[in-house]
Amino acid sequence: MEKALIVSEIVKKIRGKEVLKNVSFEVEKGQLLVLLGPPGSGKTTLLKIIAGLEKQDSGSIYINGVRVDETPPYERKVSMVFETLALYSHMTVYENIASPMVAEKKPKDFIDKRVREIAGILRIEHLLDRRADKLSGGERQRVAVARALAKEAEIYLLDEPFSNLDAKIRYALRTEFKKLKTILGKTLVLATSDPLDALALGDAVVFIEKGEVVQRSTPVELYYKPSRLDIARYLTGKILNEVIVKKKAEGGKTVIMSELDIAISESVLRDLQEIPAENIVLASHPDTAIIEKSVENCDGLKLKGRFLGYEYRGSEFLVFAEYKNHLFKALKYEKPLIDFNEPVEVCISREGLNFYNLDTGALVR
Amino acid sequence: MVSVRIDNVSKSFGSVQALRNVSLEISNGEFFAILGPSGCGKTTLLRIIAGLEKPTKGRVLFDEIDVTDVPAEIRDVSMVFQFYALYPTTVFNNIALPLRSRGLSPSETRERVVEIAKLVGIESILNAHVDRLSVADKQKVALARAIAKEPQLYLLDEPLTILDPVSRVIMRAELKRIQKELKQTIIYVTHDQIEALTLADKIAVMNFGVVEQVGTSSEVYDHPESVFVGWFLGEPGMNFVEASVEQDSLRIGGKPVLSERRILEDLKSKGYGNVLTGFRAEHVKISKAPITKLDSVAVIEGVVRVIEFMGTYYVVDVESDSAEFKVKIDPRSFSNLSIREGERVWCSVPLDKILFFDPNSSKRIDIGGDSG
Amino acid sequence: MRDYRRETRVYKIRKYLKLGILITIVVIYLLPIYGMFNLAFRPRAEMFTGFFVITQPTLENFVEAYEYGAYSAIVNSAIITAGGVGLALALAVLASYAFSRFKVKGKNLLMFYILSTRMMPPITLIIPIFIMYYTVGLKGTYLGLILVYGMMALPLSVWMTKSFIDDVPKDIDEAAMIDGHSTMYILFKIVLPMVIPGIAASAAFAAITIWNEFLFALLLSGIDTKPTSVLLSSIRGERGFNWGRVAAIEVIYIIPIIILVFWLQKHMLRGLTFGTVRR
Repeated sequence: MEKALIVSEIVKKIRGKEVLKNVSFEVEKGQLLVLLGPPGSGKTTLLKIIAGLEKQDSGSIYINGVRVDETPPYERKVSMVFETLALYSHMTVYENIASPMVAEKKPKDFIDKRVREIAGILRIEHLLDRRADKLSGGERQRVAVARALAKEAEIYLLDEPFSNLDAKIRYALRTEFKKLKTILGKTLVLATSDPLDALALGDAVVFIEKGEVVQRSTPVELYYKPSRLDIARYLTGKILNEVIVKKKAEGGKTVIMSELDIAISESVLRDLQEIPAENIVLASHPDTAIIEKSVENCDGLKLKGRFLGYEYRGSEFLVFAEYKNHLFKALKYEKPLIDFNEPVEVCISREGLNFYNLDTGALVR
Repeated sequence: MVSVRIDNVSKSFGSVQALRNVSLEISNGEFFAILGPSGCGKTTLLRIIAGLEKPTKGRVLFDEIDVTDVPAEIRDVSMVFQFYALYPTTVFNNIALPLRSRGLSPSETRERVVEIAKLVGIESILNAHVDRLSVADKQKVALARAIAKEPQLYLLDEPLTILDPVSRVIMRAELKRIQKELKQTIIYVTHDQIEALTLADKIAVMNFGVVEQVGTSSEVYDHPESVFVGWFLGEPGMNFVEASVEQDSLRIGGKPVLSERRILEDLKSKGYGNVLTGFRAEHVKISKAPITKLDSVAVIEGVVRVIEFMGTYYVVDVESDSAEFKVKIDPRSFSNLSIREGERVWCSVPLDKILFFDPNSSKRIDIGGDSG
Repeated sequence: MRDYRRETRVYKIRKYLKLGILITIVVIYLLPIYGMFNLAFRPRAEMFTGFFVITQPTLENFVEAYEYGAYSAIVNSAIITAGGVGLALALAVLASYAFSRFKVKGKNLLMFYILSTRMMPPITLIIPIFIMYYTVGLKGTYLGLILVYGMMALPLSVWMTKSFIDDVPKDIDEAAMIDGHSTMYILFKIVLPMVIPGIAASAAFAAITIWNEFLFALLLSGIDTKPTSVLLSSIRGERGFNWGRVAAIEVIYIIPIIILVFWLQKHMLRGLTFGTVRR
């Protein structure tokens, strides 16, 4: 079975700067692959190269096993939703959706049937006669997706499809999108800077930073075992708990030191012994940490700090504690009854703890 | 610091009514959020408070003085917009300008600028030209400039919307810290309910030009007064499922889900044949085994349609006949359950976590004796 | 307690003072135009009485203008202007789309070159063109003037239209390319409709330039094709300067331009500020 898309060693320079460095990955038929990365990491350029709108400096693109580097965009069987949506603002919604079929010179009744069918799936039938510049944000998004679907393609590319929307609409559209994906059964590549898009929608996620592929895995793997410290930070919106330790050999024994006064449990000490690195960062998500007035039985890292407050997220609270200018966070499901500045104990559980080499940033355990 | 009162303000633009009879009270030093979807009128309301628009009807009062006819320049208000409007010069000059126009000496100006920059967290980029900054830093400069003016009132219009999701989370925490130190009256407009829940002392939830509810974070989250408020707050929003009030039970799609006497009697005595049940995704427990006993819980049977992994939790979309609702599960419970798309499940919600809403007016029904 | 009342009063006084100054300046500028309109309706007898008052307004000046050939001159102006603008726009649209969207070798140089043709004093060109036209038989024809004016209006039209097309995000072209449309379809059916205000603005500026032009018209037009600018110049040297008639001709000469500018002012303002603000 051929892969739907193979991206092979793509290199692209724009104005002397390397925007894409040796990017390679594959997408299976019917899969939704998410390209996740901070703004400016090269995702849009990569999508445009796959679509044929830009030419790579070296490397190849294969769609369904066929090398398409010399093929112009409209012959590549690719459809795209742009970050800016690129709707034809002076045309009606109907005309926008019909556009790809008009270009293919399909018969009028075929076009009419398809347009109404697609509009039905995306629930925009009532907007067909409206001009594209008279729509709300969520409606425009749907029209852009409808237009992309109207084209018969092997691969659908989406560039930040949820970015300019209200938080509420973004959430609703994401769920709808996931449902749609199952119904349509098409191969999709979605570029986004929002980690939630990647986690919620992707069958597989490729993390791109500064034009390089840093990790490729499933959403769950990516979340629990990010291969680099900066990926871990990016995924949690930088609310990672981090503790730095130094390993030194002193008189035949290995000693673990840290500028923070922490109590390390036996099991974690054993883990640390096995790591070949000298400067180690222990990092984990707030959901495996506890911040309370007192914590008993902490299998992991334990330290003391002062309570800084919390973020109310409706169904959960993100609690903050500070110690020697380091910020620690934990997730709690009830309202914390601790006062500002009160002393608290922080326990970072061994479960879910990842060990990173401070110098290289790579995951070691 | 100033207290603000909005007295029955209405605003129409031609035939479009942007605001209808809005009345709000904002106390001295309060962080007040106006929360609502795009187009609900919140920005218009903010502009009226700023003096950039005049209300069609109603008054705006600062410390009980009517300022409705006072031009914006005189109201002594600082505004931070969605799209920072910075002067094309260094960060330092942007912050220094309002200080210099107030007549501060160069040394006083420098001192103040550094002080404010430290507060906002940009003292390291004071000499940079604003063109070179990231979007998040630009917004910080806009904020610093607003602080330099030392106004009696701060108005912030969705200042974090243009930031990428990661920067937004960081800036939110920063804002909270700055707010605590400033201790000023701040009116903050946003469509992001987490922002409002986290930052505000009080929240006014708006929709289509009307204030649906005003309250603290927990008040609007746990005790929504209308379907809109219940749906808008929370990620995911409150679930709403229509149920019919029968003799012995509440039924969804013909199947009994709730049989608590007290609730049924109350609803029947109020003349309801149909109600909207509201419950939050995090209060639903999923079980793969059928649940038949209905005491102290409501049970809905359905099929799993979509599973979304959100990192710190999972959202499961369940369909039951024509009803659809979401369930929020923490990762550990999820892996213990191990459900897949297409599986049949039984969802239970504790009765004290269910709210009832009038299907016509969308307002919450007060069930005598319940905690909601 | 803040004294909003006093501060508002001070603020308002300043505002009205500034307004007053602005109004005065505007009035001073408009006075000559008013004078011209006023003159056009004066009968011979009242030519030099008081500045504002006319006891017996009359249309006789407009009749005399007709007898003088003013209306056919206006028609000539219109034909030449429409032709010149049409030619300039047709070429400008194609050229500016290419400049905006395609990688053209030496693009910046070419664009500058086009602009530079307008930097030369027109008088240096007039003799060679005159000789060329005379030889080829274009002297005195509409076509001749349309060609010259088309070339004159081209540079500004290209620059203005290009900036408007630049404002249309390239994404739109790309989406249309993915849809499968040809370049011509994209230009005429998708991009152009989006920049109609811009095209209108370019057309307006071109029209004003051509309508008012005198030098080339004087030397290259014939008796039947002479536009109003030439007509007005020949009014001098007659025994007894007929102010009223001149004013009348000027009035009908200026009215189409006033209507055009009022109609398109919003778009023209955008055209004037292009390139100054970067988003």
